[in-house]
Amino acid sequence: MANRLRRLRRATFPVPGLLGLASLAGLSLALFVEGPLDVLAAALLAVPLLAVALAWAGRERRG
Amino acid sequence: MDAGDVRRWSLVHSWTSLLCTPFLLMLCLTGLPLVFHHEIEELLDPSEWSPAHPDGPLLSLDAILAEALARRPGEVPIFMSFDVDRPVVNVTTGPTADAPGPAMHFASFDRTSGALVPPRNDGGVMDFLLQLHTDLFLGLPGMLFLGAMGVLFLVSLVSGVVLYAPFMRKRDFGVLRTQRSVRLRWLDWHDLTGIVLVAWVLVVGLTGVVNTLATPIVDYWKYDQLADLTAGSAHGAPPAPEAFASLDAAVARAQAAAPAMQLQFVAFPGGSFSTRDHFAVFLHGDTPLTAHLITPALLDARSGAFVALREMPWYVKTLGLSGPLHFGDYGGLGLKAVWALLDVVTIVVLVSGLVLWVRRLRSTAPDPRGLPAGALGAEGG
Repeated sequence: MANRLRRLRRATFPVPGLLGLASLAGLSLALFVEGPLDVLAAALLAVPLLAVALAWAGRERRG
Repeated sequence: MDAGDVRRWSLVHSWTSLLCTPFLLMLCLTGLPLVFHHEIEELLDPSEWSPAHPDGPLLSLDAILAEALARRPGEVPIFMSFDVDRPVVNVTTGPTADAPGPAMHFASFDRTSGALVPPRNDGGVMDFLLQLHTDLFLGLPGMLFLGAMGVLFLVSLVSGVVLYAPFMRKRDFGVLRTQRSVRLRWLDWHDLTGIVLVAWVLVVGLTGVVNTLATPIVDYWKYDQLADLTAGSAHGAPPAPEAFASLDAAVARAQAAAPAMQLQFVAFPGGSFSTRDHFAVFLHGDTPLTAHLITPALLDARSGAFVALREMPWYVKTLGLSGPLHFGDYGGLGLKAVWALLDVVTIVVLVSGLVLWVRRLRSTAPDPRGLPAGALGAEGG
């Protein structure tokens, strides 16, 4: 599992691709739904922000 | 991708970014409060208006129209629109139906009593920011200029993604080398924030460009579709308001033709959104998606007879959906908060790109990626 994650991070586009898909899914969902599902749309849109936060949190270890 | 390709793409990325970044920074900074314009406007204008008879019956549209015209003798109606969150009808009048904007008069009426509703604060800071964000106070030329900057930004994004691949091949995703040089620190921030935001920024950028084309798109629709809808109708002088058929009956007929739709606004005969002979009743859907898509129905202004209803063409629908997708104001407060954070991270992308360029200009040291002098350093995002 750890090796798989490592390979995923090593590859150039899989992680950015997944983040992009999350953004597009969030944008589409927000346009098609209302009410509680709005929260899911916001959560999907926030995934790239989470990636930035995780990179920031891990900056010293990998620096 | 060989070194020549990298050099060419980095030049494209550098110069498209440099040209558009000052304007993109302005758009991001002004766009940030605009995401929360509803909330900010309520804070800035706390005056609470309430209808005269909150639970009373609503006056007819004909009664409101008569009240509006009685207050503006000699004028004709141009538009009638409706507040979403309160029983208020807005009537725009003018000396003629095709009067220019400055000659128009706008008044709001309580639909439960017909009394005038005090105008909301106009010309405040939010209006200033919106105008700056939309057209730099330059009207259509300003909008088109910002649209051109948006196109450059999209080219910059695509070239950034192309450059991301060769320079990230030997690095893990999300690595921030904060212990190395200042330049590498900025470079990593630029690469990371740029690539994680690219999908969202592409959508916001693309819809922003579409929004700048609003005037030509609506003009083309009027030239193409509206003219087609009314082909064959008489082209004499528009009827005087006294000769109008019942507006309520006309609106009811329009809604009967599109039962799942809600009334958005009415354009009166002779105005820029109608013909000389028709009420144009604009309806919108009642789902989150279709609420942004309007459909016009034409009704004979003298008889009130239903004439035609036609869905908007794809380019007007695209424009309708571009507004919410660009401003992010179509969801709840949570979505707006995320939108604002994404906007802040976009500012990080822009500022880091600028810093890299400035540092490169000042530095005589070779680029860590071996890029040519003058290139932004192939920030890859």
